[in-house]
Amino acid sequence: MIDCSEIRPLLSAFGDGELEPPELLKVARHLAGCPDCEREAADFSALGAGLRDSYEAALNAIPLDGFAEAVQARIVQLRPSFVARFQRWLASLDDQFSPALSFASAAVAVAVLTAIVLTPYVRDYMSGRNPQIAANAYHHLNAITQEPRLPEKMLAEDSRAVISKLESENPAVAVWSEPHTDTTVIWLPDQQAGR
Amino acid sequence: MRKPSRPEGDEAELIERASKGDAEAFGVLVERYQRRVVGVALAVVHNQDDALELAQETFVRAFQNLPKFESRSSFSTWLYRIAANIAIDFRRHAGRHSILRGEEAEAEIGRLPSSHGDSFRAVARSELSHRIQEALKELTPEHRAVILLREVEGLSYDEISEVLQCPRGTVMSRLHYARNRLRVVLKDLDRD
Repeated sequence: MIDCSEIRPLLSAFGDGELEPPELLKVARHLAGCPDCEREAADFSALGAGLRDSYEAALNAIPLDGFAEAVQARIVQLRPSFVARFQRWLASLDDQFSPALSFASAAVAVAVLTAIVLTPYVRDYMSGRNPQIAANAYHHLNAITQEPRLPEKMLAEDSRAVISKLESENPAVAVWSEPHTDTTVIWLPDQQAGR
Repeated sequence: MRKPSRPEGDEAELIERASKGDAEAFGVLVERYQRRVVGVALAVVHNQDDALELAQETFVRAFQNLPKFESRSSFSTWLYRIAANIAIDFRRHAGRHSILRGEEAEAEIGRLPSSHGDSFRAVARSELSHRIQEALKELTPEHRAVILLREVEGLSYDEISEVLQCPRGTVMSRLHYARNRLRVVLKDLDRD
């Protein structure tokens, strides 16, 4: 016969129906021939009934009137997090409109945020602070307006020649001076130099 | 015994609406589960006023976390988990449960029932109910929670494991210990 010390730890689970079939069979057979373990199993069962009675009595003694209202009052005072509010707003859109429209709304929101973030860079572009972009912009603009004048100051990354002003009334001669380096340059075409 | 199941029918709809902020829908859920949540809290803290306060806190926290609830598990199991965690944390911070150590623990082991001990089943059921309430004070919050979830709420060992976030084997051993402990205390009360 199996020793009682091996069976006792399983009595609780046996009464709860939580044993695997092999163990269930082992315990059932032992109980059939062991009055002490059978008494302990019966005690556990009575204990369960007593616990249920006890808690029913204790719970019935607690007044629950107004409990739900008290919970609602606390919930009303809660302020959902921004994420929770945004999620609920999106969910409400799903209820009112098609999923495609909800997606479009979210895409528009992303586009607006992107534009706001990139605005400083857009401003830089338009003001010509970026020299290469500014130079390209000038050439495009010149081609459109056919204006012969160069910008008063054009800065380049390559500082070998910095043209500040073009001075000449003769279209065959180009003269420009750079006060910064105290330099004056006169450019003459080859046919002019041959005279 | 009652078998918790995944939310179905109107309960699933109530949960869906409540997760989007519908306080009225959540109010229906509160009324449906308030008694059981209070019961779980009462089992752990053993004080009516504390149990009511902790049960309210349970529902507030549940409302805040509803968007995270996954309907693949039962709503009641999820709710019990919140209630048990809040109540056990409350008891731990209050430091009111007793832990046996050293000579006290050895004395407790020696008091385990012998094979020829008398049963307490002869005690009248109403008297037993009262004595059980007294005996429950001898248990830790974790042991009280596990025995209530099993005996009163009828949860399986796997469900209790999910509620209390502990292994199934721990649930089994805690239940066995809790029942034996109550059995010993009840016999002592009967002798007195």
